[in-house]
Amino acid sequence: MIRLENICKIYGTGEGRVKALNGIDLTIEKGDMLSVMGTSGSGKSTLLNILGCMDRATSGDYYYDDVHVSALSAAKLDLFRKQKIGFVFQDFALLPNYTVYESIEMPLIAQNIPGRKRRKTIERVVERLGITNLMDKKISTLSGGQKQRCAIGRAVAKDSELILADEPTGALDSKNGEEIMKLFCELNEEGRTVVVITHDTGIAGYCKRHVRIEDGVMVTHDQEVVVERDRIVTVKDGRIS
Amino acid sequence: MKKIMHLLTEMILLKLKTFIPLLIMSWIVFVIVIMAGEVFLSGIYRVMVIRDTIDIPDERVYYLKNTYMSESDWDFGPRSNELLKELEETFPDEIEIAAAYSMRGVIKLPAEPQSRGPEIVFLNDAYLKMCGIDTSGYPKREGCKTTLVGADLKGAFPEEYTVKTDFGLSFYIAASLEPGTKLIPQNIYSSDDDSKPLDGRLVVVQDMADENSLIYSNDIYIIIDDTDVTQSVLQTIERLNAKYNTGYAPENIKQTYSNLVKNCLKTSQEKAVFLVFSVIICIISVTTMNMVDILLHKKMYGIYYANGFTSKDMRGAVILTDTILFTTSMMLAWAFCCLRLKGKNPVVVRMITDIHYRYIWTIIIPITVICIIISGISAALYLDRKTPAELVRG
Repeated sequence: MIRLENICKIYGTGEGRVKALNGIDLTIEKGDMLSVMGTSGSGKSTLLNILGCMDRATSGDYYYDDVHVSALSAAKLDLFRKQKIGFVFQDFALLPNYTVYESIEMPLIAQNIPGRKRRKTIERVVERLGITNLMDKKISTLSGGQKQRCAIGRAVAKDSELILADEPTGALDSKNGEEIMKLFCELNEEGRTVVVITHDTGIAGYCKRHVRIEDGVMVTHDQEVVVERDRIVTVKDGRIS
Repeated sequence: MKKIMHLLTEMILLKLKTFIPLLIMSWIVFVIVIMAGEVFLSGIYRVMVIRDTIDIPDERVYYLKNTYMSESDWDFGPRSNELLKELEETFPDEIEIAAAYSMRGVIKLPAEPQSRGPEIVFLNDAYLKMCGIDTSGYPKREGCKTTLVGADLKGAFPEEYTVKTDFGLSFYIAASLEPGTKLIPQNIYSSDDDSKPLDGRLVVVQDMADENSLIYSNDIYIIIDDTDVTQSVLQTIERLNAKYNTGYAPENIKQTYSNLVKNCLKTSQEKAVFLVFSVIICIISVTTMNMVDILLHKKMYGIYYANGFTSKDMRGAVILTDTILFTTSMMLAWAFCCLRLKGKNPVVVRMITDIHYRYIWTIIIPITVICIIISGISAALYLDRKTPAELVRG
């Protein structure tokens, strides 16, 4: 589904040049649930932005199915992002004076979906996420967990094939964090591809595959200990065994 | 379009906190530009009025340009009167002397002009037209588009107001003067009865601003009926100048007109610099304000991008927001400029309104469009330069 070949991302010029990603090769299959781990500043968010067409790689190739994404024009990249990708951010990226309904509606408006269909979709999504009672509440009045559910709702409302989550539990307590991750697992089971960025091995434990980035270079360990809730699992060749 | 309209509404609502200050700031800028435009265009307007007012008469008309006049020289008036008297006595049939009062100082006009009035000296046709007075029945002085009026102006001035001197060199206005406005006739031919018509005579009006200062009319024209004596008249004026220690420089009316227009244009050019400066400041400020606004709302734009809105949608919304912002502020600024005229001298109101309708729109609307284009496009380009990832980081 997704193939990254020798992806490099350089920020700045001259002495201020920072190589955020350095020759990343990665393949993500349809229906995969991948965690991208790494320390702060390792380049994982940059990778997510490139995967989500929010940024372009300085060099390298990005293929999504048969589409050479790196070669798309800005306008086509916008359309591609609109059709395929849903985002979930650590800080929720919700507009505080929107209601839950309006927040979930936003990507549907961007897709020109007619009003009645939008309503149906939103009702289905909020029911699925268990936030029907919050539909008319302002974002600013919600708790962190509720906000993140709303953000997930927004990401899935437009039937995105790929959901990219950047530290989705970073601003939540462990209970809410677990619930959100379970939600991602369910979405993955429904057939969506999910990429979760995290530095928390416990959160990563919910994913099927794991990759680790250090200083912009992908490091996939043969043996990596991941703490998944209360048990210890071993990762081999990037896959939980 | 639907998407853009949605974005537009949301942007305005979300940006309400900055939209209103932005609106107020751009409103202030537009008020300055409109006022600068008024200043500039009133200069141009004056030139046009002069052009419309003065028929370039034939070579017979000479303007006695006063190169001497000093307000502290209290004897100047009588001396100049003597000069004119002697000049007219020298050429009793060959020349005609006309004096027009040009507005200086302050004349207070009555609420209800009395119909007793022989006080009108010269009234500029353009001015009368502005006051809505039909001058067709009045006698005209040949050579000038000025009306020699010895009639009342009842109803012409609906309320008491003060006409300021600044109103114009070209407006040879005399008014139906009320008691309280001291009209001191010093014309050499009149009797002592100051109710006698003063047409064609030198008039001294006491400056209301300062009761002690007398300001003399210096718009004196000599119409030389017999052109054979032109040189002789000019030489006589030169001689009388020396005799009475005046400083009149006879100047053919054509030259006077030309100088007048030239001076007005020169002044207008200086005002134009101010206008251009204001426009530049306007464009820079609205563009900067808009950029700052975008910087403040980077995150919001990033969220829109992340949720599927395209650069095209964003550009459209930004430019439309700009259009609404600047059009509204321009309209409000214009409304303010009109409102501030309330209660002002109706003549000034007429003039400014006329300027607004005839000229300001042709300048202010293009300026608004330029502001919208420059600030909207620069904001849109600024957004385009940023990747959604940068924006969503805030």
